Amino acid sequence: MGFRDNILEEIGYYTDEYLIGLGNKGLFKRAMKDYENIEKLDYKFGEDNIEFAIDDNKVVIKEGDSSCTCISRTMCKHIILGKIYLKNRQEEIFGKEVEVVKKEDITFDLLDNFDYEKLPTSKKNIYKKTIRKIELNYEVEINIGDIVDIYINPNRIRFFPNKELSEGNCTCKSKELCSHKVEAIAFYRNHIGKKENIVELINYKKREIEEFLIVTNEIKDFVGELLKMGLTHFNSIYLIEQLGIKSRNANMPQFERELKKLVKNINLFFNKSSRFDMDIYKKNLRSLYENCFLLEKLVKEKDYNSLKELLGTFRNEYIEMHTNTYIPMGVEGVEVNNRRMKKYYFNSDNDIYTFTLSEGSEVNWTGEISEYKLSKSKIKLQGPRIDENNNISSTKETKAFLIEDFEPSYDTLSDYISGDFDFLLEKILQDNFTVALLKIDKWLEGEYDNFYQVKNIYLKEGDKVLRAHIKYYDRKKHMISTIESIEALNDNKSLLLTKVFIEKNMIYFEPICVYRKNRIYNF
Amino acid sequence: MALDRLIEDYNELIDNLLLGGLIHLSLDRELANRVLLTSKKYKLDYGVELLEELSNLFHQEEYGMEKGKDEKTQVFLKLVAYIDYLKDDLKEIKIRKKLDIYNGGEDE
Repeated sequence: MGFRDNILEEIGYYTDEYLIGLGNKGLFKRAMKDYENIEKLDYKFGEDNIEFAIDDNKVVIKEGDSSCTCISRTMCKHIILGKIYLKNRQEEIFGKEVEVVKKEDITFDLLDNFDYEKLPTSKKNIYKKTIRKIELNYEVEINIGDIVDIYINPNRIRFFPNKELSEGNCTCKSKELCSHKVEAIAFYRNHIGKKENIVELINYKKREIEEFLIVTNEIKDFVGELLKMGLTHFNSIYLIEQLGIKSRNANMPQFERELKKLVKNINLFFNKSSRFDMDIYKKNLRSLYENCFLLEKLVKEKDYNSLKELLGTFRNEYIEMHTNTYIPMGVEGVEVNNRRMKKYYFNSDNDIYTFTLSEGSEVNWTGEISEYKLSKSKIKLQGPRIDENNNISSTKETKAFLIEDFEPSYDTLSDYISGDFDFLLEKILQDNFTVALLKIDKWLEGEYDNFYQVKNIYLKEGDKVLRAHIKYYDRKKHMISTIESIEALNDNKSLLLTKVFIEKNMIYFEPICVYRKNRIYNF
Repeated sequence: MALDRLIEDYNELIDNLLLGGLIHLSLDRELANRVLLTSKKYKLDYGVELLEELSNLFHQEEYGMEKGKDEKTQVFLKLVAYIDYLKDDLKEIKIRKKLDIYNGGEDE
């Protein structure tokens, strides 16, 4: 087929929606207006193009690609005008006319049969992050008509039925497969029901695996050397730091973290700090060494899901989410690296998010939200960044707005219950750990097991009774006695915000707070 | 309890090895022998096995049969892990005993 046949075939797709998609509505309208005012355009055929002279500009329309000599760097009204002219004067220019492609014949095969594996690594990461966004119900607008039109704030991406995905149109003006187009592909595929499971996507390359093994071998050698020489004779901290960098470069964040911990421990030892703990040092060395063996085993068994878990994720892997409202649920005092922190729990779209803040420090988000207001107001976050454990980052780039005061209580939080016991069981069996807001019809009287130092609790919801255990924690001294006092009450209907996890086939709760009709019990 | 003492000795030995290097095993023979003998007395077979293996590796090295670092490291870290479990076990035994006394059980 020559150029004339090919361009005629393309013209078959030129509907108004398609032409708007090439630029925007304004350009299309202006081009239409110009078209109505002209009688004839000068044109001549080249070898693989057709050239128009429009308003002193030279517009070259090629198959798939077009250009114009005007000042616009991207799509301009002249190109669209040329295309409108081609569409409406086919008989005059080509001596024949093609039928417009019927709506039902328009397909987006390249999007439908998109192969994730063919993406370069950097784009794969974007695709994976987008899947995480989909899981968090990120809001996008998707319209599938003569073209695929996707709006992901602040970009609009359009894919055409007869063009490569990289030739799609993006408001960032990239002519390559930009990150927005990759995101749009993932959203489109989710929209049409071709959901990718992020776990299925893990497929390490031979080169990546070789790199893991090189690093683990070096770590093993180093541990061997350290044990042989003994800590007192060890004088090459830089060696561990180098290994940390190597782990980082090889995408092994968990190993990097352990090596950093080791550096910290060894420095404590050399500085004769009382905070140096031999037991922690031992554990640190052991887990580092054992993880190297575990990695080798997982590589041998090709168990890439466990391998991904072992390698861990970088802490800075936050994804930016759409603007949303966050409802305060409770606060918990935690200790991280000997620093006292407060962990705030929020509900947004029925998911629970956390935000951690050092005691006494100010909220970093842009906007006037004081620490005090965090637990007592509904807030709107613009561009919150969220990591894979649903922690909200405290970056300044997030803008926070106060919506209204909100007092967490049994009545106000009743709409945000995570689900019933069955839902909870399903969720912990799947993830092993979750935070949930549960509605408890009645607390049955439980008992304290002196030997295991756990409190057995029985929660009643309708006619179902759930048996769970609460461990005794030093830092939550009053928790068990408070729960016992709740159990002793006649009407003890309540809401329970709790961490739930499974250990040795038993369900454990670590309550954060309990809401009763007119009281909150914070632990 | 003698078992307490044994674990203390183990800990001391392990700490010495961690600080001074594995070579300490040949230097600190007295402590190493004591630990070995008491372990045998209390039938801590796995501990005995690991200690003997570790000391064999060193003897072999002394006679010029260079063994891989890996082997020594593995045996040693196994020993560290084993002592940790042993400590936990001992703690559990102690708590049980205390509870027995508390519940009117016999005091051994």
